[in-house]
Order: sequence, then structure tokens, then C-alpha cells
Amino acid sequence: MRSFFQAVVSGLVTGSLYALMTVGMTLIYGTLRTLNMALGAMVLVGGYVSWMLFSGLGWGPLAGLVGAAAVTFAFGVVIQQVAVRPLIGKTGVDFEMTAFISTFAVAIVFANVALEIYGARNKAVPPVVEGRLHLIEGVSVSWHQVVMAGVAIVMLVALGIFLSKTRYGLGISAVAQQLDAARLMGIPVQRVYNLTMGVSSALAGIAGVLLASVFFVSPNAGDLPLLKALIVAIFGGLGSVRGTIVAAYIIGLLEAMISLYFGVKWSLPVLFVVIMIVLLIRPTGLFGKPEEARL
Amino acid sequence: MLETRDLHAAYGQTRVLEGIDLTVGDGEVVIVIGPNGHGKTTLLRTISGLMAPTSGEVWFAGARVDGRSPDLIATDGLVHIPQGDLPFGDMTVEENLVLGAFPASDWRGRGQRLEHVYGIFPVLGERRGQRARTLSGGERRMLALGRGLMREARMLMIDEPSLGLAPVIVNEVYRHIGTIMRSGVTMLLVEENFSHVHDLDARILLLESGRIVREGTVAELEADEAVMATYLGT
Amino acid sequence: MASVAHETRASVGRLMGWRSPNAFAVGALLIAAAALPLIWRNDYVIDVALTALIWMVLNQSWNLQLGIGGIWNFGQLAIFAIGGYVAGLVSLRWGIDPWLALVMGGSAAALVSAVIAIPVLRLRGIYASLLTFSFAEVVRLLVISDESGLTGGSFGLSGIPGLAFEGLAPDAKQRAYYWIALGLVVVTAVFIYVFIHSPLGTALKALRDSPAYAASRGVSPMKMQVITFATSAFIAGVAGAFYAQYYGTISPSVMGLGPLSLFVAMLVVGGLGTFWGPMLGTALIMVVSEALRDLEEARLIVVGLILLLTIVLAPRGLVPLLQQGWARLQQWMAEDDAPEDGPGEDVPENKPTPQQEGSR
Repeated sequence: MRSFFQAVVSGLVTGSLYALMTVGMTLIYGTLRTLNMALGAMVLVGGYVSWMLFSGLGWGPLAGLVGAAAVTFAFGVVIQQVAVRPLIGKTGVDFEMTAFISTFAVAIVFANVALEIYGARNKAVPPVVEGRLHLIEGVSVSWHQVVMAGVAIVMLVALGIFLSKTRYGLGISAVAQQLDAARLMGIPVQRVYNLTMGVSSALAGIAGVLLASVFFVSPNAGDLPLLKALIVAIFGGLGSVRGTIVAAYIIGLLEAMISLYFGVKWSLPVLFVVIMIVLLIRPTGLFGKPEEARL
Repeated sequence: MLETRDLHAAYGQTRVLEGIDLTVGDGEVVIVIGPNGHGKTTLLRTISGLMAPTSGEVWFAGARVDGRSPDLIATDGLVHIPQGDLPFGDMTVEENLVLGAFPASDWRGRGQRLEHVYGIFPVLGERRGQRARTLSGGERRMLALGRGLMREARMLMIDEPSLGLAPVIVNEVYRHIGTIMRSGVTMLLVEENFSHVHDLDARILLLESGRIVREGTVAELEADEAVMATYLGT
Repeated sequence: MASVAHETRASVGRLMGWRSPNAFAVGALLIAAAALPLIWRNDYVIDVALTALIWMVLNQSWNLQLGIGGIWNFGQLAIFAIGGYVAGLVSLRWGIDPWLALVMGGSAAALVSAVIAIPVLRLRGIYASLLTFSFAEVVRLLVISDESGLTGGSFGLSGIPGLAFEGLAPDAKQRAYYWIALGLVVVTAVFIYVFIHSPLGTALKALRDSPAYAASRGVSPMKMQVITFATSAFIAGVAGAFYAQYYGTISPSVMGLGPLSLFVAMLVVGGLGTFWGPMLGTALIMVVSEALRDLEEARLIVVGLILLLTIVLAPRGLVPLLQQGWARLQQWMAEDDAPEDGPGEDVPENKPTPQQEGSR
């Protein structure tokens, strides 16, 4: 029984991180109709930035978070301008697919540049806080896990406030829901696109910092998070931010349960099978909505 | 306020506007009447920048705006209330309205404008926390109009305010439009049906196959039987 | 009369985006390709060329699914690997004849593909591709973590028996493999050509371009799509099996993101959905890859950049660009031959019109 609770706790932590990554994907998909495969690269960048700040300057985790967020935000905007914007409105090609591939290409470039610059060896980043927190008999969680979940949740809440209460936050939702009407309101769409990509990339970068102490920082650090984000995306559909968050937690918990009862090795394949079953019933994902291409 | 010169527009190979010259003076109300599919909506979309014209010019508030991005034209004071309302479905009524005041200069005063709009459309006030996609047809129309009123508009363009609404609601919508007209806002309205507008004190343009074919006051056109045969009726 | 028939055939080919090949050029190319190992007696070069040929078969199969089926199946690499693993396993464990193992590899791949086709086809466009992508990664991770000894984990299988050329000298053996690989490319190309011009191929094109219309004509989309999946998987599986037999080994590294990006680049640069695209793209990227051989990571960076530039600047790839250029050249030359009094509105029969829409 205690291992069950342990798994629940673990699942909630990973769920928070999945939410952090995938919510950015949802935002980008909602506004730009693009599946940003470069988000994994942003996780990667976040990890490396925090490592560099730590090993080079001895700066702690807070600096890592802020630095990673800033750097990945900037990269996000650049990627939007270079890989996505030129494809908008191109006739004779399927925008979603070409944007998928162009962001995929960006991800490849990032991973290999990292490999070139930093080498293949894993880099270690120490956890924010050492030690474990004991909850109930036999169930404990590391303080770092608590911090991870905490930061993730704070960021998600902040994002929610941003999207529903601020001028540009509402603007992002508007562009996602009704592009033409948004333009008629005077909402500058290019700026919104840049902002969306920047914010989403920053969220992924923050996830990268948080994950850096758990999994080492390496050029492949973005692969697994991207895969998980894609699985959450398929599972939940990319229709709404809230739906994505819920889906992320479900996947996190599901994964923890599968690891518990079948072993870690099987968590991904079983997860995959579960998703396939869900899709057979609801092809648009649990919370997905039928989308029409707008770009 | 608004002037188009030999405006042409097309969707791909399909030509829609074939040389539109029209002007709307300050404080004037101009109504474009035409059957469906003849270019009314395209005209408005070309003016507001959602579409780029294939040739010709659009001048708004003394500046040339054809080919400019619609959000820039909107920030200059052009309010286009589009056909079909295009509400932000998942947002609440209040969020929809607030977005109507997006431009920086309007954003500051949005609280006041919001109360002003709730005053004109009390039903929106009642439903302010409701998601826009749960509104009825008439309520959505009010929302679209209200959203357009959230800004200081130099010119208001309304695309088929009567579309898809029951006659009783249409009357109410036009009552509001009449009030807006009387406040002195420059307006360009587009309608399919003559019957809704014959009370209004405005200059009428008849649009057919992408061209303006006649012009006149309501009285003049109603006296012309050929015109009435074409443009009266649904 | 003959030119009308030719123009019709050519225009049909153009309409479907697949140019009817110029027999002379193709023949010359084939002869040159076949003669390569005899002229250039460098083991390494032949090895690279051979590998390129195997990739061509894989990419053709992938392109079939993309161009006809309209689906980007990122799991095709895993399918390729499954073909290789199955062929390797049956010949290693049960001593099955390698030629039979080839077929079995292809069949296993086809079977797996048909099974995953069912959920994939239920998804809309991008989600379908996502699912195939996840499938590939899951297969790869499963194999890597396999400790049962079945697949050899991250080390893979080795010692896979080849295609029974054991009596030959090494370079003769290599040449034999080369010519078989070339044969595979040709057979695949012919098969694909026939396939797309067949009633099934036409129906699939109709389905891709206008699903509603196709449905109203009683065309069962699901069945046909599954057939396309299985067919293209069979080809990929055979390619995988052949790969395993030539190299004698197969491992999960063939399924990674690195190879995937190379193949995506090959398809995109060549031209998605076109007949010659996979072959042209494969050749080009292989040349680039080999030229940068010594630069390791830089190699993939360059390929990634090439992919990015191509998809952003010329998303339909090189083949449509070249076709356009060629058509414009021919038009320019024909203008030169026009009679003095001018042709007026009429365009001579054998003057090609510039390419409009190729396949997606």
C-alpha cells in the first residue's frame, strides 16, 4: 500500500513537469497551428544554461531558472521567426506538416550543436535542496521533487493568470480562438505569435532546469521529455490549456502506476498501448476539439 | 473618412470586386445593399485589411491603408463588426468585450466603456460571466456590437446585422444601430435586405456582381420599381 | 496522333505529379549505376553506394505512403528495423534460408504496420504522425531495454547469415549484394509506378484529395489505407532484412533520431510525394553526409540545417523545382522556334505547360 502512495506522489510530481512542457505545446498549437518539436530542445537548453551558470559561475538554482527562462524565451522567438513564420500562408503545402518538420529540423540542429559544444558526456547539476521529506509511514519524497512540483505549479498558475487577466494573455487566447476577430480588435498577431513561442519555450526551459538534477544534462536530454509531451498531447488533445494540464497529471500517475506494477521498463510501452485504446474510442484525445486549420 | 478607388478583390481566381469607388464622409452613414455572394462582405474585409485587394486603393482617415495589416488599421480607429459575429467562444462575455478595447489607448478606459456597453445592452451585463458560445443568436449579435463599441471608433463598419436572426430580434438590433447612428459615428453598413434599412436616414449604394450600380436615398430607390423588385424580399 | 497520346499520358503523369520517365535517361542511369562497382573498384565507395541504395528502397516505401496515403509515417524506421530483426532472428535461430528470411522480414513488417494502421488512421493528420513517431520511439526503447537476449538489447543482433554468396571472393560478394540492392531499387520503383497508375492507386489519390467524394463512390478508405500501409511496410521490411543480411548485424541505433533526421531530410530535399524524389534526395544527402564524414556532429548539424532551409524555402523539394525549371527551359526554347507570324492564342501540342500542383 505504501508503494501505491509513493507511486501517487511520484506521479503527481512528474505530472506537474509534463504539464509544464505540454501546456506550451498547446498554446503554440492553438495560436500557430504548429506542433513545436523544438520544445524538447528548449528543455535541453534550459538544462545546459543552468549547468553553465552553476559550474561556471557557481550560481544557484534561482539564477538557473531565470537564466534558462530568458535564454529559451529568446530562442523561442528566433525559432518562430526562422522556422514557422516563413511557412505561414505558403500555398500548395500542408502548413501543419511543414511546420512540424521545420521545428523537428531545429531540434536536430540544437541537439547536435550541444553535442559539438559540450560533448556527449552527461553533466551533473546538484538538486536545489538535498534530503527527503517524509510524509507518512514509508512514503517519502525528495525535497527536490517537492521543489520541482512546486515551481511547476507556480508557473502553471502564473500562466493561467497571465492568459485570463492580462492584455496580451487574453490576446493569445483570442488569436487561438478567432484569428480574424482578434485582428479586427487591433491585436498584433505577429507579436502574439512571438510571445506564445517565447513563453512556451521558457516554460520548457524551466522544466529543463528542474529536470537537470534528476536526469543528467546531455545532448539527448530533450528527447524523452519531448516524447512524453507528445504522448500527453495525443492523449489529451491540444484543445485547451486546462485539458492539457489534466491529461499531463493523468499520464504522470498512469506512468507511475505502470512502473509500480509492471516495472519501469514497461511504463512507456504500456502507456502507449493505453493511449492507443483511448484513441480508438476518442480520436481527438480526451479533451480534444475538432480543429479547423486557420493559417 | 473612407474612400476606395477602383477597388478590385478576388479569392484566388474568382473575381469578386470589380472596381469599387465609394466614399463615406465624416459623420455620414452609408449603407451598401446587395444580394448574397455579390461582394458585400468582401468589400468590408478588403477595407479592414483582412483581405488584400488585387488592385485599387483604400484611404482611411487621410492615410492609405490597402495592404496594411488589419490590426494596424483597427488601431487607427476602424471598427469592423464582422459577419457571423466571430465571438471568442471559450471566453466569457466580459472577456470578449474587454478585448474590444485592446489598443493601448483604449485599454486604460476599458472599465468605463464596459459599463457604458452594459448600459446599452443590459442582457450582456446579465450574462457577463457566461461563455460566449452559450449565447443565443441575438445575444451574440449584441455581443459583437458591444465589442465594437468598446473603442473610440472613427468609423464603424457592420456586416449584415440582421443575418440569421428572428424578425423581432432584428428590430431590436436595428433600434440599437439607430441609436448609434444618432450619436454621430461615421458608419458603413452592409445588408442584403432593403426592408430593414428603409427607416434609416442614410445614403444607399446598390452592389451587384462586385460593382456599385446605383446610388440614392431610401426614398429615391423605393420609388424605383425595378430596384425594389431586385432588392426587396429575402 | 502519336503526340496526342504522348501528351495525354504525360499530362496524366503530370496531373498525378509523377512524371512519365524518359526511357533513354533512365536506361543510361541504370547502366551507369550497374557498372559502378566494375569501374570504381573501391570497397568503401561501393559500400556507401550500397547503403544509399538500401536507403532508397526505404525512402521509396516511405514516400509511397506519404504521397499516396497522405500520411507521414515516422514509424517507418521501426518497421524497417522489424524487418531486419525478424529476418536476422529466423535465420540465426532456426537456420531459415536467407532469401526466405527476406520475405519473412517483409511480411512481419507488413503485419505490424497493418496493426498500427488501425489506430493511426483514426487520427487526424498531425496526430497520426505523432502516433507513428511515438510508436517508433517506444519500439526503440523497448529493444534497448530488452534483457531477454531475444533482440540483443542495445547491442543488437550479429552474425546474421548473408544471402549465400559464401563461395565468392569478398569483392565479388560485395558486387553481388550491390547488384541485388540495385535490383531492389528498380523493382520497387517499377512496383510503385504500377501501383499508382493502378485502380487502387488512383482510388487512393482520390481519397487523399477529396475524402468525401471517394466515400460517396463506395470506396472503402480504411481497407485501402491499410493495404497501402502494409505494402509500403513490406518494402521497408525487405529493405531492413537485406540491410541486416549485408551487414550481418542490426541494432537499435538504426532507429534513432539521428538516422530519422537523415531520412526525413532525404525525403524533403528530394521532393515529397514525387516519383524521383526519394532517389534524388537519398543520393544528395548521402553525398553531403559522406563529404562531411570526418566532422561527426557537424555532419548532422549541416543535414539539419539543409532540412530546415529546404522545408522553409522550397518545401516541395527539388524534384518539383527541377521540373519547373525544365519546363520553363523547354518553353523558352520552343519560343525560339515559333514561326514569324506568331502562334497567337494556340499553344503547340507538344509544348509542356509549367508545373502547377504536383503531389503534396
